[in-house]
Amino acid sequence: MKDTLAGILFVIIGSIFLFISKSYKIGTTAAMGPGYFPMLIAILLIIFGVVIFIKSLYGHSK
Amino acid sequence: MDILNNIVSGFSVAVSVTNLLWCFIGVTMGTLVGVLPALGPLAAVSILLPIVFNIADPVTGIIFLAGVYYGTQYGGSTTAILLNIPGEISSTVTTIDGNQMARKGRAGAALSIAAMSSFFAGTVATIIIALLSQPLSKTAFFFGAAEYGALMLLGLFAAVSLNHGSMLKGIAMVFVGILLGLVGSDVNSGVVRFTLGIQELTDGIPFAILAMGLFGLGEIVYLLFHERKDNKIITTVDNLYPTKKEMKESLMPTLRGTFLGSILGLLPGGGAIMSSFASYAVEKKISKKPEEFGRGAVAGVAGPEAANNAGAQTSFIPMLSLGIPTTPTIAIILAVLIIQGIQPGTTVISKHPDLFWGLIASMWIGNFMLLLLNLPLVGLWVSILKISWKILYPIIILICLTGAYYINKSWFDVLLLFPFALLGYIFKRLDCQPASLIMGFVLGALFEEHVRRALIISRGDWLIFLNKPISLAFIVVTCILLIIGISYRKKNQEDNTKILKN
Repeated sequence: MKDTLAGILFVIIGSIFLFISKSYKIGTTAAMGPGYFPMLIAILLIIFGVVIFIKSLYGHSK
Repeated sequence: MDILNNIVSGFSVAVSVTNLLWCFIGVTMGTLVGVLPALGPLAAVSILLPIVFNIADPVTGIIFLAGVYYGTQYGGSTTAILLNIPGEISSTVTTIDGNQMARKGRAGAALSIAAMSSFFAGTVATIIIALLSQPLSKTAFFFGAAEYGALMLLGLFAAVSLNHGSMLKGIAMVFVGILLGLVGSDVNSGVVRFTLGIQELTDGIPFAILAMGLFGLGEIVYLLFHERKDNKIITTVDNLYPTKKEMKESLMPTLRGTFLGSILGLLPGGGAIMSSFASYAVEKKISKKPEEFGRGAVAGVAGPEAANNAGAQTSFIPMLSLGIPTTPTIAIILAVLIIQGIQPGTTVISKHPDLFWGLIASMWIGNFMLLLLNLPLVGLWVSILKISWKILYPIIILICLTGAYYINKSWFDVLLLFPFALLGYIFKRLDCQPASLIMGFVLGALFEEHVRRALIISRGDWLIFLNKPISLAFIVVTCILLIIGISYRKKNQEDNTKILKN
């Protein structure tokens, strides 16, 4: 239960940052704009949140 | 002898009246918070942050904070021995045999042994810092953006790998920390990011407020809801002197604990907690009378106490020589250095020798003060333990609120404390460690800067981090630590629970 909620919380936080960072200039990898790096981290956070969420649904059945 | 000269000059910095005074205040306040059950070094350092910002000289400020840090280590063992509750996590193992000694009427002896082995370990670890930091900082002479970026990665994730709790959640918390660390104006473009239009956040989330909210106020709120038991002290302390036999029994474990702690303290995330558990396991394994462990074995107090203090001290080395914090508490101290205008990194020792050597000298003086202070003042600490949480918690909350105001004399800061306290409470409820968050927060903006710069140099090729040998080495080490972390976690959690149960 705790992991399920934590996963959801991470996805929410990641989404907020992802949403806002899209309003900044992204740029390219060679010349990153202010939005590039936060977007990257936010996406990673969402991925981790989803993994934690899914794991919590299947992992604790025993 | 270059080092000898440096140490002498360090002592001349440390023994100035102001520095001695703040060192004393630091270790006393550190012990005070460390004595309180469940409040460890992170809470202590966070709650006392406002004081640092009102000390003009950064050297004095850092001497004070360092004093608070190792003061909590001493305070924590007092609670462990007298109450059978760890004052902070790294003294968990001390509860086992320390409290058993106390039940047998040897509380005084247990306290003295804990203090003496801690002092010995602190002395040795301080010497190690003096010898090791300078050469280490010189190896980093050729570091470019890619190397620094990879080093930050190591600092960020290695700490998580050896932390307790779920690793996935730990890494996610680092990401949350990085994102929060990016709030404010972007150094490269000047664009103000993620402030939600709040003017006060243009310079970023005030670091001290974040720390106080998460680890001060948030922690207290958590304790209020979950652990509001008043403590019963079961022992009285009368005879402080250990017998000759007890002294003899504590000698070798102290030496081994010091050695173990000094090495583990250097590892990212190692520090005090892992050292004490490792030392206890070693002592029990090589003891001729393993059956005594859990029934008041002197070695079970001396070893872990030496180890956790040594580990706490040597964890300063990566921060001072490379600018990389390896534990959350060290991360806070690093953040304070940055705010005080000292650029962390490989040049700290050469650019600010007074800070580096003064800190080292003051660490030894502080340990000495703690040795003198802790034993005669045991009575005082005991009486603090008797204060009910109904009085204590409101006092700490009040200290947090006034402290938050006085950093910048800003009401906004005080208000900001509450969302972070709430966040800290929620994370704690969900078994996510806010400690991992602070690592990301402190290193976040720097990490972005180095990664960006490295990718400009490589024209957008991510392989730059793997093509440079030093940077590749850091990334490999990070991966190895994460893998070790996964297996260590499974095996060690069983071991630690076994140690605690027996």
